[in-house]
Amino acid sequence: MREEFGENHLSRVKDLSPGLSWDLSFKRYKNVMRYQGSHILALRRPSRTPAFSRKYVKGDPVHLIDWKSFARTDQMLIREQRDEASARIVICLDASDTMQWPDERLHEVLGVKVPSKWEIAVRVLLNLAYIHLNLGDTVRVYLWTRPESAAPDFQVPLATSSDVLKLYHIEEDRQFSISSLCEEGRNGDNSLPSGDYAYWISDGITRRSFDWLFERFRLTRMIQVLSSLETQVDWVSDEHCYFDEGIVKKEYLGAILKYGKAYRQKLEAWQQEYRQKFRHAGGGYQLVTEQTPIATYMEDLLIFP
Amino acid sequence: MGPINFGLLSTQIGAASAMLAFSALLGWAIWWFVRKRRQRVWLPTLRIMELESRRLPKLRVIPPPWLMFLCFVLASLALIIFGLRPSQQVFTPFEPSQNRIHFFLDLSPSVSASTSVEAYRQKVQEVFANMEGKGRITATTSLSGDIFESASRDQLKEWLQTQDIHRAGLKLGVTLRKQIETLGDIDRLFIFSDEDQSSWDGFNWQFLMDDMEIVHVVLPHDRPNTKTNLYVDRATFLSSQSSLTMDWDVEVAVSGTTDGASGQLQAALEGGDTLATVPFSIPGGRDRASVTISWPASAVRVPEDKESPNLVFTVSSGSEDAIMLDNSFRTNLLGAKQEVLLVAESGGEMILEDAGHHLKSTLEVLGFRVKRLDRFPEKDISTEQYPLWIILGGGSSSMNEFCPQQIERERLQRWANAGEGTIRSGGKLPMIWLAPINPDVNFQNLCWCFAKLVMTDTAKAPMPEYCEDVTARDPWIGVLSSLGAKQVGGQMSDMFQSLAWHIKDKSQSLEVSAFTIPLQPGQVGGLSYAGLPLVVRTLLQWNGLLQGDPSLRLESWPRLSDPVTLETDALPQQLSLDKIRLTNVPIGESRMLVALSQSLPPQWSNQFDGVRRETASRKDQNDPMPWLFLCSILVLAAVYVEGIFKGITSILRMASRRKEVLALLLSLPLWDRADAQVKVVTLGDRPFTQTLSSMAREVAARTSIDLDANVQHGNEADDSAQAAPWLWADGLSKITGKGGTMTPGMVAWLKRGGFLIIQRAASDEELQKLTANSAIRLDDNEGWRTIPPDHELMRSFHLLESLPACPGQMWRGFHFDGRLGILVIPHDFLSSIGDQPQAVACLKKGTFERDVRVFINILMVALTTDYKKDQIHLPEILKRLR
Repeated sequence: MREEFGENHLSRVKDLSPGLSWDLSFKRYKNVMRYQGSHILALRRPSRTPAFSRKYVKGDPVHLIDWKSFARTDQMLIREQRDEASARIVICLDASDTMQWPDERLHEVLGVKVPSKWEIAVRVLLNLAYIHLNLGDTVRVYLWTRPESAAPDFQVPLATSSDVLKLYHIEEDRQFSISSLCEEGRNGDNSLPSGDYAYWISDGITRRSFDWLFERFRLTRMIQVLSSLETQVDWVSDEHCYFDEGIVKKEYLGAILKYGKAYRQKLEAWQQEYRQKFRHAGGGYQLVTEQTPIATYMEDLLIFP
Repeated sequence: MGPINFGLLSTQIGAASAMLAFSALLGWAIWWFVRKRRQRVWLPTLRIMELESRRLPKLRVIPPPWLMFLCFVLASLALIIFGLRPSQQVFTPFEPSQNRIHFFLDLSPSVSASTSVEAYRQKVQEVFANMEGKGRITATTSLSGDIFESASRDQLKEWLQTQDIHRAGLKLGVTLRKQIETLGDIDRLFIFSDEDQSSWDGFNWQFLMDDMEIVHVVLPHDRPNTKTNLYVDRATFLSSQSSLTMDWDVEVAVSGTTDGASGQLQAALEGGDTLATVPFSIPGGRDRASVTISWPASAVRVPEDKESPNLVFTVSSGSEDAIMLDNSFRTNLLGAKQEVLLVAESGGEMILEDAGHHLKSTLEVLGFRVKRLDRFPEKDISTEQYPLWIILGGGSSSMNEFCPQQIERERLQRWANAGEGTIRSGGKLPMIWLAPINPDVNFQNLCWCFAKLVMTDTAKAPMPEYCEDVTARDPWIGVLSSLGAKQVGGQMSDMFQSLAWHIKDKSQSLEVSAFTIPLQPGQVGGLSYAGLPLVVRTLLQWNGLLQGDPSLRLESWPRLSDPVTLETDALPQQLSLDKIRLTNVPIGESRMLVALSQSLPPQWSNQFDGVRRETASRKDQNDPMPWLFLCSILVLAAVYVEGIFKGITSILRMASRRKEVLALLLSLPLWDRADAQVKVVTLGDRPFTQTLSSMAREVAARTSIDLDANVQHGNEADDSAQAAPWLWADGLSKITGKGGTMTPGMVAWLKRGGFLIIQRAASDEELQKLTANSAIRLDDNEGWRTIPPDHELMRSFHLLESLPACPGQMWRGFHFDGRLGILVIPHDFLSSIGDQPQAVACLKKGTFERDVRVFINILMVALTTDYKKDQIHLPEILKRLR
């Protein structure tokens, strides 16, 4: 895939759309016969298709004993294969205030328009939803607007991939604002169901405990969406003060942020913290910025722990 | 800080100019650095960053608005420069006709230690010769501020012959300040003086250097070079009044040596004989010695109407002595005896038989010298020698023997002279005491003598008719009273208790005191042995012949340390000019301490060429005040534009807070002191038409509560009535609904904290019905109760003993919610305290004060309930109770 798009390909996540669909198990696609869903069940069933094999246990169908192998090795083996099923996918999107950055004020200061983290997150969300729906999975999308809440505030109904495309066009017209997506969602009974796979799409700035996520889902993945202006601070200068008045009132000059790569180190330590947290829970982590090439994004998506 | 000299320009750096410079520099720095304001950019990731913020941001200089900044810099620079008080030394060209040279001659006693008067005069003439033709030369001395201007050396020489060393000390600073006021502008001041520290002490001649050149002319040392100086430090009178000797303790001191000194101390009257001479010796290592010197009191005779001579103590020693002037020390003569003439016929040789014996002893004890005569001699007695004549007459001797004919003669002579208009000659006539020699005297003779002394118009007149009936003390007193004498002693209402009668003759030169009792101890006269001296002393003091305690009449002789006081009007009244001139030499001069040469002005030397054609004088530049004023305006304008204008505009820009700012601005003019205003609101069928002006005044005077004098007649449904803290209901009609229970509105108001006062209430049943509302929940001990004597109503402000009520009627209260909610007053209380009080028929007439106290207590309960239960008020309550 990397070769297909190339490292210098212009396609970046900022241009990611749901239609750009790639099989999440692309590599295995060529090797295994799959008909439905992206999820491989843990329950194996004896099969002539030699995917797995084990010793014969009394009660197994006799006609499925690999007699050829018995003739060779004098051991009775049973061939097994695992069925695939519709996975229950939940995509969680953090709608914190920090997701709306970079804002208009920064655009004025820089003179360049950079897509907000929210836009990137929505693009990733719709892309993921599209992929999973195409694979036959059931996808539920939830929005979190409150910082310390385990229950989502909104659920965006997406039943088919055409719903995804429709929503994408709506959001594109509305220039990807939190309010517009919330309008599409409904806030009835939003209790989070348990499922097979959960994506947590967030910038991670709003601190949360993910224990509830790890308990409900067998596999989790955090897609941390940051702006390239946050990951690379070369653009900062001493003309301005850089602050955040959300929780702690702090104010820095550009020189301080750039001094001795202090900012960069702190940022990496923070990302590492998330990476370890999700990996310890058996999940995955990847960082996405608007400058991340789509190929890299897709490749990272395929890496499971 | 000292001056900084830039060539001829010098500046004074003071604390004020240093502060000014510092604040200006601070202003510049603030202008350049603090004005910087960066745009703020939100960077959300900083929320989770733990960056070290201690690294200081790099300061960046942003240019200020140049015009304003330039004005500010210029103004502050100018402020600093002018604040340094720049001054330039200007050398004015030498012009003999315009330059003033002044000689100040120090003639204080210390000068005489090293310089003779002749050498002094020579020195002055020598300097004069040098300065002649270089300006107008004037001269003054330390003794006199009279300005002498000399045109020639001869004139100066002549003037110098009249000057000599004076006895007073000199303080150069004080004297020159006084003299320079009258001398005007001087270019060069020559001070002829020695280096005596006492003279130079406190003289800040550097201050005068701004205006003139000051030269110290050192006087020639032509006297024997000795530092030893002997002087009298002080003298103390030791004797008592009755002493026969005059004893003085004189302290002789020596300075400039530790070898001690010896010599003689002489006491003498000023211009008179030597009284005593004693040797003295100051041992080595000591600088003073006390010497007691005494002489017989009889050696000093002081005539009555002459001023007593001064006493002069003089020390002399064989060795060298620097200052001769301080060897003599003057003081007042104390303890001198006055003479009294006592004429009394002798009663016998026994003391008890002699009528004059005790009086004579008394007078001697009081310090008088008594001359005792049995009768007046034919020859006249000096009236000046004896200021007091005491005549004890009326005994067996004839009138002519005890009555002095001489007095009558002299008195008549004076009367005659006064009538002819001639000048009165001769001194004052003596004071005469005329007393009966014993209780049983011939009062006719006594009366006759009295008449001859004071009353008669012709000499040798016969006994007056009014004396013929004087046979005893009482007629004697009557005659004295009728002759115009004034009573002495006894009670004014009872002249027969009088001790004596005092009269002056019409020429006011003769005073006679006629006694009514003998001047001797005895049962009849009532004088005891102890009382006689006291009575006589009191009378003598009253007559002015005896002064009080000798220490009180000790008139300290002046010791002037500075002759300026000679010319001031502030001299003590009792100091006569003689005493000032003959002042004792001040100790500062006598001690002969030498001032440090560094502290003295530059010395004049003979090698001075005198050709310098210019004289230095310091002249301030033009007044810097207008410039300082202009600079201040510039600085203020800069501050205004930068600070005030920006501040105002930023306030105006506070659009989001516009309401608050507007409310704040509007509230400013309406600012008023916080006070509590209470209005009486009545409810009832008949409106309350009176006002409560008197009550409001009393309430305001006693409490901090402002009671409205106008009474509001309300309706129960009114919002205003519902908002009032209390309501005065007249009867129950307005507050009850159907069935006689309280209306729900009233119940709600009561539960909110309202206080209801019901006047002229009806029976207990009606009241019970009134509060029978299920909405009012009662705890134990709550409900209707009679107001007990220890109720909070009785002590909320004033301590009340009882409440005014008609016989058989009680004040009741409805208690609920832990407080008094309804107060029932049996009569119309409000009408009885209005400005037109209406008496309640059955009520015992009380005072307005009682009603005021009751009203204030009700008011307090209405506003505060029982605040005294609150422990926080306990300290204040206890303080008031104590």
